[in-house]
Amino acid sequence: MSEFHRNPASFRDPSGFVYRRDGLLLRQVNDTYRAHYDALMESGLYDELVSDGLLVPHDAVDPALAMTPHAYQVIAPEPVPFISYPYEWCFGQLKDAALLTLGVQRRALERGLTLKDASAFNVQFVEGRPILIDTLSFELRGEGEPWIAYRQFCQHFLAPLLLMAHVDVRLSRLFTSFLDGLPLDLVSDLLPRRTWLRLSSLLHIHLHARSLRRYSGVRATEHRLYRSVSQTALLGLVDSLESAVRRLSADPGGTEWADYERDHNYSDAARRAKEEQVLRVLEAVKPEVVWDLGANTGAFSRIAARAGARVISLDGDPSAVELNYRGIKEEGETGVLPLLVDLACPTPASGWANTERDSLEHRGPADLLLALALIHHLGITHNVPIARILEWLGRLGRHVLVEFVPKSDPQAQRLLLSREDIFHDFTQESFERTARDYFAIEWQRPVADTGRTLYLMRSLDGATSGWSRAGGTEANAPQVDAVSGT
Amino acid sequence: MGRTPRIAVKSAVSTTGVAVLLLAVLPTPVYAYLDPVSGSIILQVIAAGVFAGVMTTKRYWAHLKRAFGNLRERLSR
Repeated sequence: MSEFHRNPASFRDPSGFVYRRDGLLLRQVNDTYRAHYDALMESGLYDELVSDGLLVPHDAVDPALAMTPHAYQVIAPEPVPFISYPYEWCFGQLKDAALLTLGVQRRALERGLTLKDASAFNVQFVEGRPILIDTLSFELRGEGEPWIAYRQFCQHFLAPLLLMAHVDVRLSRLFTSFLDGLPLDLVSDLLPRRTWLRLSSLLHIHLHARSLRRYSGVRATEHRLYRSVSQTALLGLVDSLESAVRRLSADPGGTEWADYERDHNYSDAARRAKEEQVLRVLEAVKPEVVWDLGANTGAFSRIAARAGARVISLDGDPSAVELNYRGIKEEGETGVLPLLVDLACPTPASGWANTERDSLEHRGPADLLLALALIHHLGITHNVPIARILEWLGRLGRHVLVEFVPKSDPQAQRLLLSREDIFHDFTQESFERTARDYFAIEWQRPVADTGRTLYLMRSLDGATSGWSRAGGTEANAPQVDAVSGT
Repeated sequence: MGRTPRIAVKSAVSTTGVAVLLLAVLPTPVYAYLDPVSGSIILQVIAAGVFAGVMTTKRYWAHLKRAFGNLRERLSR
């Protein structure tokens, strides 16, 4: 008897759905979608999009693997290694995802098809680049029909990008509450008045919002101009949206941004020594998946990627994540995925029944966590007791490399500048004692020229965390015996 | 000469902008829970003419530029 698991996020579209059958990722294409699916495959659009890396490739498999009746076909899409969400992307990532969506829509229009969805959740980052993962988003375009997903595109992409560019880059966080994109009337209210003077924001946001309100009781298909929209007009609409998106920027400005490039805490020698130690740990643990927590602009994420790991590079500072993303794009680094996550309040589970979008933790655990100069931020800035931090880390990763920063460190002192030191437990001795409740400490070394210490620890929670979920066993778990030297 | 099509596009666009602006000042009855996409579709069909016009002008201009380019190339040979 086969075991089926329907993907909890795949239920809105009647064209088909995603599920796992005995662990294999499959997508059922329903009978009702037959004509559209055939058009996608036979028009040459699928081949074009896949060969240009814009759409996730799939193999057709035996239709007998279907989960429910009325299946037309069953396909096995190439799995995406790590699912991220638009509210975890920096400005540049959302912008690139928007341009991908518009590029795909343009190519679809040229072949007589159209995107019926323009959801940012249909885009994922694979090997550093955005890719459309919803194969069933395409449909044949009826003669003269407008773009049904125009509103969704504006809500998911243009509206948050405009807010981030014109008001504050942190407004991307609104997406965590509005999972179907930001309501256009809200965005219209929040945008500065000068955006009324620019045609793209005037039309696609301000007038769009008013038109939605005005015609909400009207059947659009009865409008006398419905079915009068030419292909050229829709290509023009795509062009207009594309130039609006391209023009937007949320540039790191001022000295604060430039400072990210420097690391104040280390002498060159200390930094090199720390890099060498991290590299040694990576070579010993041989992790497939590394989560770099508090990655800043991703210097250590890159070291892990070069050592062969797939790295999720997490930071709560939009500027740092933006610079990280720009860096990996410029370098062509495919092993690092920068994400904007506030580690003091990590991405929660959300959506319908809180199962549609996964929490950060649910997408783990990582083989190795890098928690370099992180704990004092959580402990001192956010008042999280050491035991709670360690317990969380133990659930998040099978191994963790922690850099302990003592209170005497200049960086920790900065955090204590204008507050009373109530952190009597924040000592190295207490850290080590507490760590043993959750981890086996396998290795520890001082970071030269600093008062800091690196600890490599193995989670005692490993059996119950996702390692067993992922099919791993103690026998193929990374071993650290090879860590040696100073 | 070089700026003419651009200006044409811009003025076409702003004219429609003004036309569509009228939409904004029309009374706005609110019917919550009804088809949420209607306004998006109607806005598109109203603005479709401009988008088509802009696209056609762009294509025409690109074609013209190409033709001039070819001519210049031929003359310089």
